[in-house]
Amino acid sequence: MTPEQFGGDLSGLRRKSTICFVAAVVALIVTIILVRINFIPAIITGAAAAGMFFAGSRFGKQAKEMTIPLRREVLESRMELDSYEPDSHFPRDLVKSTKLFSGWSSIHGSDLVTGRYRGVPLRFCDLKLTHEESDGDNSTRTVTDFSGTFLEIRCDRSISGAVRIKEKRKGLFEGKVVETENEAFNKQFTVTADNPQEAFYVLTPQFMETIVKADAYANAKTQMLFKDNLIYVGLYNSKDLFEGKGKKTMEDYRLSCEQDLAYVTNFLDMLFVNSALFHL
Amino acid sequence: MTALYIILGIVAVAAICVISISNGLIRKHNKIDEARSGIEVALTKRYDMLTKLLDVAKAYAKHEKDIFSQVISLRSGMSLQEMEQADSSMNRVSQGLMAMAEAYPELHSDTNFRELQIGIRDAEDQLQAARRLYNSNVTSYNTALQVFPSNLIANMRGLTKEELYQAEEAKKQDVKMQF
Repeated sequence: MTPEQFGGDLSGLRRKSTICFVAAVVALIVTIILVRINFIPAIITGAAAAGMFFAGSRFGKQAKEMTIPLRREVLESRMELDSYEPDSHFPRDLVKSTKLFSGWSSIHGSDLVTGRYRGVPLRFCDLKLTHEESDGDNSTRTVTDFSGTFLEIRCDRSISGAVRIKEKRKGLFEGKVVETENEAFNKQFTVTADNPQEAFYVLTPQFMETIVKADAYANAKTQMLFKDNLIYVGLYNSKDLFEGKGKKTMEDYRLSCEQDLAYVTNFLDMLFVNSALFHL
Repeated sequence: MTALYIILGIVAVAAICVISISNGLIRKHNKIDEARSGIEVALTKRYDMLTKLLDVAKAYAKHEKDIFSQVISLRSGMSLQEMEQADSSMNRVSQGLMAMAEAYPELHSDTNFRELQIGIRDAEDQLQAARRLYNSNVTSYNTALQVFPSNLIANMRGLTKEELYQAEEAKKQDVKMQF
């Protein structure tokens, strides 16, 4: 497939998908109106809505599948890729066990990448955590508790107990709150740890500066858990990795994927500065 | 009668404040003791690793008497100064061993020696963490002794400032940069 064909086909499929979804919504509204007037036309428009919805999903899926080889190519160019699962995400139990996010009940996600970057084993994906909240008048609304990039990084040293770092917002983690000697860091983050000495072990003076820089770079609410020999990072940035929205040519799409991956790898490069955790 | 209630209320609030500040100071002091024992544990771990490393090194460099004759004394319940002295002695031995490893390639390539070197580095990182935690707790406690109103309670109870753990200048710069 030539780059021109790729661009044409991708934008064509995306356009068809959008049109189908809009038509499905219109047909659904018409169905709701017709149900009160005449039942048979309502059934026809209802079926049309379902058909449009199904077709929209199919076109969307086809557009996504078309970009998978390109995504894989970009990933392989920057890291040792073990697997790329476009429709998978971290298991619910794993995310729950980190206790980095509270209140959520539904989990959605995509683009689970497993591999090694600079020799360090890691996994990352898009993640969205939500819960339903009642408005008090029998209606509910969906509240987003987290939406962004979630990473699991294996480090060279095992941490006993858990050390959690959360950008200051309401609510606290489990464990004792630890005040470090870095005032600016204390203002920006809440640190909790089962054993305060482990928090000081992980948070060397230089690493605290790095986290502040990495957080500014990520432009996200950052949450981290250090436990055993794993580090979990939640970057609440509302990003959808490798989506390439609005990209019309193959080159534009590739560039967009490369930028998304660079966002992750640049963040990792900053974390790897901690020589106590990573012997690179 | 109302005045009596007000006075009683004020006394009760004052008593609660005194008790809570006093308990807060005790808690802060307990944290210092806890952190001090963390330093002891880290020192012991470093001592054990160094002893093992010295044993491995002896097999390769028997005539390097200077380094093997250095005495490091460790015991439980050491004062802060004693811990600082032990720490300094260990720094000297550690530096000597690393220099020796450069001079004896066989020693440098010994698997046991290399593993112990990694262990020592980890023990040193743990010691630095314990030291920073201790100093952070001491600073917080000393500040509480100086600021109003906890300084009043501290004076009443005869509490005095705690000493910070002084690291050697060379060890203060143990932050490693890697790019």
